[in-house]
Amino acid sequence: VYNQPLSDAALVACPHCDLLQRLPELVPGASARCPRCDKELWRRREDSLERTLALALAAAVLCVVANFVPMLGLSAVGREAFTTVFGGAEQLWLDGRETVAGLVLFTAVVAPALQIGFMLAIVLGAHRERPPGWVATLLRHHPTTATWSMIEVMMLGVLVALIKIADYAKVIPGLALFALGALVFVLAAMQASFDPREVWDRIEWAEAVDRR
Amino acid sequence: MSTPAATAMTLGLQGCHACGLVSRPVPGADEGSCPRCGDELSFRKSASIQRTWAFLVAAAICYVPANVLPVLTTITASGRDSDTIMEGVVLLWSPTGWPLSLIVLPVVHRGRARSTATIGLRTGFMSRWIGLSGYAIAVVLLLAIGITPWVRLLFPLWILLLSLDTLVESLGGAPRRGGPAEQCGVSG
Repeated sequence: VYNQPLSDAALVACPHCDLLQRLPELVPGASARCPRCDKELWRRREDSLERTLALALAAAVLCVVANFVPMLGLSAVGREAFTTVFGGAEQLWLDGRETVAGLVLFTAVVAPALQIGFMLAIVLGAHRERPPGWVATLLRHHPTTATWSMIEVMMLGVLVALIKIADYAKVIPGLALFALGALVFVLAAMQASFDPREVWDRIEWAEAVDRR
Repeated sequence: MSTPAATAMTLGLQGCHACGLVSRPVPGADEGSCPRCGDELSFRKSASIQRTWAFLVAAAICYVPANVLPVLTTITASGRDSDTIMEGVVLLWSPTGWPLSLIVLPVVHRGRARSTATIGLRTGFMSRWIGLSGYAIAVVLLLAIGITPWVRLLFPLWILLLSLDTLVESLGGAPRRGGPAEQCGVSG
């Protein structure tokens, strides 16, 4: 059962403390805060869709490089071995650590790819006058993909392992390691430049899609 | 706290956490889906306080072995080497590594005790003396951890104390409750 919308579309409830209030019109760069709990309710971004599209495209390129190019090489007693992120997960699987391998694959490869793909589709779909219903579905689930994408955690783990192993073998950082490092910042910038309210305001409602 | 603020819930409205739209459940229904994005809406998370307490207590219990037991064992040709988190901090404490150590330490220890105390004091959730003792414990953890490992038990003990205090207070105080039952009309 769908709820009934209110006639005043500017009314919002604070997601932290539920205080009902009316959002003011904002100039780009300004933000509105809840008067009771100081939670930021809305920050209007300048040129949000175009910038997000640019950053999402950059992230997509980095993501491809990060996954298909060697990330790390080890050199010990005259032998060298390189591996990619995917190869690392595969090796974990072969070592009998299926759960860990699945987690690494999901949080370091699948989730970031979904996060970038969703964002690209949302921004491209939002270029229409009235974004269709599937954009709403993607937009609703996009925060989940962002939550599960943990490239920075993997980077931290890799750095710790590097320090631990540096005494026993020579470590050669691969191109993918730098791509991943850049991806951490590009993804953060992509999330920061995106203003979901701008898309929500124009989107086709779930109720209308169902009625069709 | 003296004048109840007009929250969406007291007015019988639901704000969507996915898209932000405020909507009203259809007459007769308690809750429904957001008409714009289709997300399911509810006035309250079910048993939120009880569940939070359960997880908080479980986390405080896990905190003890997490810090007393080794976190990682490295086996090499030269032998075995196991480290607890605090030993790792000590290990990093070298002329070049001390900034790293400074990051790890507050994140792992002081972070929890102190920020919990800050949140508690700001929200008025903790009695003043419990909040302040939280800061004291944070300082003790920071300074005395190297002297004896038993200091680590202070934080779980503090949580236990806090739990008891809150329990006593919530049993004695009047029930504070808002809900769909208190709906009043709103001019939409």
